[in-house]
Amino acid sequence: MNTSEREMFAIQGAARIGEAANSVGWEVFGDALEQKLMLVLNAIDRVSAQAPGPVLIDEVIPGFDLVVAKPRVSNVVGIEAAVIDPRALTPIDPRNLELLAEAVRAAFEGNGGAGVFESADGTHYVVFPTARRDEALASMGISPSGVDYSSSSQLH
Amino acid sequence: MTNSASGAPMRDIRSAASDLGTGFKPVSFADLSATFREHNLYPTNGRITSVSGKAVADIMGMHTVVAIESRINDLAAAVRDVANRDVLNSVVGESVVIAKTSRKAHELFYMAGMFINHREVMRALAKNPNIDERTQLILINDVELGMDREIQMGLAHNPALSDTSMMKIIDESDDQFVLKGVAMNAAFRSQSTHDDSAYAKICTLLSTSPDPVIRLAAIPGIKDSSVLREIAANNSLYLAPRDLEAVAGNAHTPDDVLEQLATKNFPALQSILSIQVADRARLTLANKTHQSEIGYEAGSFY
Repeated sequence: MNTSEREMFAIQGAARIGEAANSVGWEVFGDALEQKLMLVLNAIDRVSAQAPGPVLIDEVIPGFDLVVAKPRVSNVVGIEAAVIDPRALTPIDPRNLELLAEAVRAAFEGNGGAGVFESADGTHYVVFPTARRDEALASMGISPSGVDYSSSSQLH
Repeated sequence: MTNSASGAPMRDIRSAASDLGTGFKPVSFADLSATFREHNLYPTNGRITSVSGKAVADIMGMHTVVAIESRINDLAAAVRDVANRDVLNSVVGESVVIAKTSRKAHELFYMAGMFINHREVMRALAKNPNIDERTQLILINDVELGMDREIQMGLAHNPALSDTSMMKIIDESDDQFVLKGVAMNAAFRSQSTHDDSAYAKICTLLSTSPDPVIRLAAIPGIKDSSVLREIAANNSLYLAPRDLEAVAGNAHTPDDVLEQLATKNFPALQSILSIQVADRARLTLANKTHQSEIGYEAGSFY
């Protein structure tokens, strides 16, 4: 993603969390949340750039998986680190992502599959319910035995 | 929601966002499959690297630059490790090297028999351009190997894949990714030979697939003019514009059909598509005229 695409998603994500959280001090909280989400989106791109193929981020939001897929002939070699805005250093309870998950869950009701975003550089981002992972992976050309687990699951 | 009224201008976007949010388009898994094949997003080895979402989400709770950068570096390193992973013990490892690099068809056939249970060796064999038809048929006919996406994709793209092997794959496989690979392979082989080859016939067969991605890959390899005429007659710019474009680009399409495609008038709604088809047809006609002027037959400039 480029910066303006990240901004679009960060602003929306923060807005959804804010709507659901109904918290006090939105002026500060909202900005911090947006910067934090920008950072997380940048992190996802930096991590995905390390893989030779697509990357599955399992349950990035509770109940939903994200796949980042680059086109085979891609001009994306590596993603620069984002300059960390000080507002992004406000610790945000990761459980706030549950609130975002509610919004995503509601959007997926009655939707027969996945949500896809095509970035300007050709990278495709696919969101789908974790419960339908095998089906989603199969439609992307991956069998259930084709998943290589990184040691990242040991990081928490 | 009382808080939502607080001042900063960026909050306004909340009201504009649709259900899935601006940017995300809802798609069925079938559409997702077509998108992945058309844009070459699917992994040729059929594999995906998995990263823990929780490890990513934990960044939300971090409050120092060091903690955040360190987490991101750890995640990146974990993914790089997967990419570099060497899971083979040395004996099988050496066999994989031989399977990858040997040019002796009989040696490769022998290895296919010996190492049929060693998946990594079989995967390397599938991609070796020196395997003969017997070896190819082992890879296709074995029940387990037939279900291994990486092996079947390796075979589909293998320049040594025989027409008999291709037909076997077409008969047995319902994997749209593999069939697209076979279609591309057959089209390339058809275009590389001057006679009315078996590959051209395979392309004709695949051009009847219900899957548009497979049809598109196959049409350029068709050499039978009457088949191309039929495709042009049975399709329209409304239903299958890209099929028509592919027909317009094939030098074996009869000249009168090309002329029709070059001058077809379509309503303004479809004008961009009809321009693409017409341009392609004109270019093909120009090339054919040029080639015949300097003494070449149609199709031999591919």
